[in-house]
Amino acid sequence: MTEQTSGADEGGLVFHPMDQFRVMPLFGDGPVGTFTVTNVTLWMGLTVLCIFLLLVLGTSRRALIPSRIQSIGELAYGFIFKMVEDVSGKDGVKYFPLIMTLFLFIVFSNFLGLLPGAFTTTSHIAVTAVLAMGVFLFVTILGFIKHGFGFLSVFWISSAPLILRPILALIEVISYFVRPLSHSIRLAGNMMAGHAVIKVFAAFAAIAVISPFSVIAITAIYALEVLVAFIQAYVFAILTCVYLKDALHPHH
Amino acid sequence: MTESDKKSEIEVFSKRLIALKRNKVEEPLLDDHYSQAHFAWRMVIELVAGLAIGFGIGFGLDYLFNSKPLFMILFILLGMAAGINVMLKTAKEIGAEQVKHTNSAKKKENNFDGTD
Repeated sequence: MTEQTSGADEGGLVFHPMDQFRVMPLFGDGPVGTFTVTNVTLWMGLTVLCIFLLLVLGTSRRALIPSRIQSIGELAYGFIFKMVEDVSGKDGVKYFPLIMTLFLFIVFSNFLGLLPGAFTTTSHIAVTAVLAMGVFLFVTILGFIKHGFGFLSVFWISSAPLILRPILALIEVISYFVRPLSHSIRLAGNMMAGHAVIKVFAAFAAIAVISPFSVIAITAIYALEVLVAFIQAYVFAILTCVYLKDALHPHH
Repeated sequence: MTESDKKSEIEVFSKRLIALKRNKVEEPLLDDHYSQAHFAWRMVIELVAGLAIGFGIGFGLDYLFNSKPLFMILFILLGMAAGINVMLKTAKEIGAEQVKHTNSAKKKENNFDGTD
C-alpha cells in the first residue's frame, strides 16, 4: 500500500490518492520496524486519548443533569447497550464491554481520520484484520468453552440427507472463515475508497475551470464519508453482536 | 374546578397526546437508503471473500500434494457455494429485520387506537 501512486500526469494534473495511506516514522527516516513510532501510532494514541476524554473526563463530574460531553458519552453507552441486548440477547450483555470498546475505537479513528491532514488508521487492512481476527478468535473460543465440541454441530446440518452432509459441512466451515475476512475488508475498503476519492477530486482542483465543481464534489463526498465513518463502525459492532449470538446459541 | 372538569381535561390532553404520537412513526436506527447500500456491499464482499478463501485452500492443498489444478478447481467451487451461503444468510437477516419493523409499526398503531 505504500508505493501505489497512479501515473496519470496528463495536463499537469498530479494524482497521488494513495500517498495519504503511507506509514511513516514520526521521528527521522528509516525503515519501519515493530517498535517504530509511526503516524499510525500517533493517531491510534489520539483515538485512545479522545475516548478517554469522552468517557472518563467527560463523565467524571457525574452530574445528574449531564453536561454536553457527558450526554454524548451516555448516548453512546445507551446506543451500544441496546444494540447488544437486541441482537445478542440477555446473555450477550455480559460481553458488552468488548463491543463498546470496538465500536468506540473504530468510530473515533474513522472520525479523526476525516480531519484534514490526519491519518486514517482504519483504512489499513492490517489494523482492521487484527480487530476482526480478535473478534473471530474470541467468538470461536467462547463457543468452544460454552458448548465444548458440541459447538462443531453448527457445521453439521442434520436436516440434510446423510450423503450431502460432509460436503455441506465443508461449505459451512468455509462460510465460517468468510466472516473475519469480509468483516475486515469491508471496514478498510470503505475507509480507503472514500479517502482516495476525495484525493482524486482534490487533484482536479488544479484546473481553474473545474475547481468550483471539484470543491462541491469534495464537500459532497466528505458528507458521505461522515455518514460512512459512523455506519461502518456501527456495522462492525452489530456484526460482532451477531457472531456473539451465534457462539452463545449455535443451534439457531 | 370540580372532579369531572379535571377528568375531561385529562381526557382532552391524552387525546392530544395520542394524536401527536400517532404521527410519529418509529424511525429505523439508521438512514434507510444508505443501509440498503451497505447490505449490498456486504453481500458482494462476502461472495468474493468466499471465492478467495476457496482459492487459497485449493492452492495450498495443490502445493502440498503437487496436484496442480485439482483442488484449486474443487475448492473454488466450494468457496463460491460458501459465499452464496453467507450471502443468503445476510438476505434472510434483512428479511427478518423488515418483518420486525412492520410488526412493531403495526403494534404501535394498534396501541394508539386503544384507549389505555
